Amino acid sequence: MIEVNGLAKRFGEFTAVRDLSFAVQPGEVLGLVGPNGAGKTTTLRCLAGIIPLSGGSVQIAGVDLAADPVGAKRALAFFPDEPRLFDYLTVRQHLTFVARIYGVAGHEPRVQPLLEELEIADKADLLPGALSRGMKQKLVIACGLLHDPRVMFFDEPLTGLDPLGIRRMKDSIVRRARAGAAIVLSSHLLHLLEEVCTHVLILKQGEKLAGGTLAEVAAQFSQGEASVSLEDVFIRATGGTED
Amino acid sequence: MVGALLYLRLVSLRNWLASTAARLRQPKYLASALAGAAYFYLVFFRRLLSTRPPAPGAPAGLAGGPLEPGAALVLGAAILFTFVLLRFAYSWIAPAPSPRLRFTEAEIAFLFPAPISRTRLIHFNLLSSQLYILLSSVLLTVVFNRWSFLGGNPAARAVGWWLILSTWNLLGTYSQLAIALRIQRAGGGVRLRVLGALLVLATALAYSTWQRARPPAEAELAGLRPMAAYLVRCLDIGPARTVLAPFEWVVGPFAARGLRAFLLALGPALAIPAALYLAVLRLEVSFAEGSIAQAEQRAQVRTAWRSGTYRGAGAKLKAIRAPFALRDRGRPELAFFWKNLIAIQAWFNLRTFLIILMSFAIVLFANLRGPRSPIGATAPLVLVGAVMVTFYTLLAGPQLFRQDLRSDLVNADILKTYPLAGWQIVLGQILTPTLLMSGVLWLALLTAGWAYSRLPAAPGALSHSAQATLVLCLAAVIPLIVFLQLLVPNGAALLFPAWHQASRNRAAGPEALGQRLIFVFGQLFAVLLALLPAALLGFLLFFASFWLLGIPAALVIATAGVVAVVAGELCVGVWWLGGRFERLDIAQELRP
Repeated sequence: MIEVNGLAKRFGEFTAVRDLSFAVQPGEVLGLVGPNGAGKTTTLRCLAGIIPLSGGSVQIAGVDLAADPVGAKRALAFFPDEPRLFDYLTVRQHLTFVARIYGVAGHEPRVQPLLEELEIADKADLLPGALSRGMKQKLVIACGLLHDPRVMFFDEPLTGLDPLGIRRMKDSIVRRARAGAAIVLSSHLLHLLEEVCTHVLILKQGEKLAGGTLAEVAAQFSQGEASVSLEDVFIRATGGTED
Repeated sequence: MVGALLYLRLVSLRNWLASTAARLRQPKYLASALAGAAYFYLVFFRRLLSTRPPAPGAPAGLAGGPLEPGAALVLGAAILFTFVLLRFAYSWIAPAPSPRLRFTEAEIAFLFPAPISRTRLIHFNLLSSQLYILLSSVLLTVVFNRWSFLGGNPAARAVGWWLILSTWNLLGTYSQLAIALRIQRAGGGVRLRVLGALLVLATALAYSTWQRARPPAEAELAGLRPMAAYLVRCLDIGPARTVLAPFEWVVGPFAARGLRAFLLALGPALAIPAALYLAVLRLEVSFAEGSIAQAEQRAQVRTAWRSGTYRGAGAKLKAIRAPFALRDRGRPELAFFWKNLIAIQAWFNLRTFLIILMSFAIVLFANLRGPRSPIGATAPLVLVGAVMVTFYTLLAGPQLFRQDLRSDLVNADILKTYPLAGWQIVLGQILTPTLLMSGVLWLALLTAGWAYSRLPAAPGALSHSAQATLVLCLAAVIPLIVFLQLLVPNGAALLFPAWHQASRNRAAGPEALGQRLIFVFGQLFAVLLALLPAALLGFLLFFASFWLLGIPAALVIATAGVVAVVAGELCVGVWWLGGRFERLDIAQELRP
């Protein structure tokens, strides 16, 4: 579903991501972890077609992102860490707008269940300014889910959510994966990623340090221990520093 | 505290300079800085540094040698008094909800929980403003150096400006704290009593001065200089003289001629801000809550300004009904049109448009009654007015109607995840302001055409059919020209996102000024350049065909040519900017 080969991203002389390769199949959730400045957000922005790649290739649902960006984007949804919304559109008007952009036929019957699932049905006629951060994030998710994306990218999806919100977000991600979506998410909350992700990819200074299923990566850094947490793995893999 | 403040300000300044200098490595930003610096040099510094006397025959105004020191003193004091009175009255009319001092959110976050006394916080606040006051003093000295009538030398005037601004700042701080405290303690009723007393005093002062002053002679109204002299004579007598005395102390160093006079004036001038400073320190008032609320409000305004959604102080957003039902299927560009139509309704709604429409309708109706009716005889004025509206809309419209890509640039990341080509987003975003500006221009054109038809026919004037055809042809061209006008600033925002963001941040300095100059002249130049081939083709087609087909048909043919050329240019422009949008990395562009 998601195939990344030799992905590279350079900003002038600075290389943010280099030679990154991985694949995410339907039903899998890949956790992108790494210290600050490791290139997680840059990677996600490249995968979502927000910024062009400097090298390598990305296939989204079998469509080459560089060759057919519009086709690839039809299959994906990107959820930024900071909810970006249009100040003058109400919750419902946001969904109407997105439905037209993605050409979602007969979107209205899908809106109400989606809003109810995300518990913002009673906010349908409010502007973003009247919503809390968590509500805004839910609206972003509703907009992203409206066209039934097969590929989803979450950048720090749990930031700013209360414990209940975090629980529901995790459930929602797991449910979408079980329904067949391929998901990549980045987060610093490692113990939460352990509950959600099937796979993990550790980045440092734009390079892949380790990747695979949680068990495979854990085994790589277990140093003979029976059970190691993702946090232990992360610290051992990165050497406990950002540099 | 002083050390910490200096560290904060100097390090911030150094880092700002470093990030600006780093951006100047890119030629486009370097060009703007050079343009801004050239503007400053040519307009201000060249005269400041020049040792040549002014050219004979230069525009007079208040020029013709400096004013008498006494006259400059009285005039300056009167101006300062007027400003202070207005500020004082405004502080009572619209007082702050609670006592407050101006701090940024970061300053509040770091300083308020820190073990710092209230007095030190006040010192921090006053010292912070001193840095801006010093810079402003230098700028004002440079800018107003052209006012030769002020006399004195630039150094003395810089000190004078510093004293005036410092007094103004301390007075503002004191009144803001004291008035809010007084209202908190005495209740809202005190406002009316104070304002009533202010009104009575101001009226009594004005009446007394009027009674003592003689009416101006005709010669005293013949120019600015005699008028100023007359005003000084009026103010230099009776109670006005007494009221203005402390203000004259403050203005003293500014108006002083010679070192001795300057030094003598310094003492009284410093006494006023010193007294105000002590008064501020002695105020036993808590300003924490008010300062926090003010900082949050300013942060919200700044965010709204950056995102292009600032609607004025106190204005609140409210949900607006969609202008039409947006169907699920169809051209995605229309979704942007729909979205921006909702956004623009917050300040330009159907009611606004109907008011404009009714204004035009009243004018047209008045003209319908014929040139003999009192209102109908205003056709020439109406024509001039309509032409002015047209030019104003064409020139200023793109800056007023900004509900397009410029207001959505902060959402560029989200827009780029849509399954749309860049040109579709650019096209869709510009549709709404195009329609609205075209609507206003069509009304202006209709009015102008109508007014023109009411004028007495001049020899060789166009026939009615030719006039009607010309109006229709212009109406056909208007949306294309408007689109072109809007495409240029949208393109500039895409090509120079950091400049665009800087204008959102109300940035100042040569770079910001330079970019605005480049934008204004660049837009004018780009539009004229784009219209040149169309205009040439239009003229050619017109002159080639009107001999054979007559003026109306020739106008139609020429218009078709113009439309074809401009439409072609617009297609290329939208397509090219779409590509630019696809490649844009807004985060990278805005990185210092």
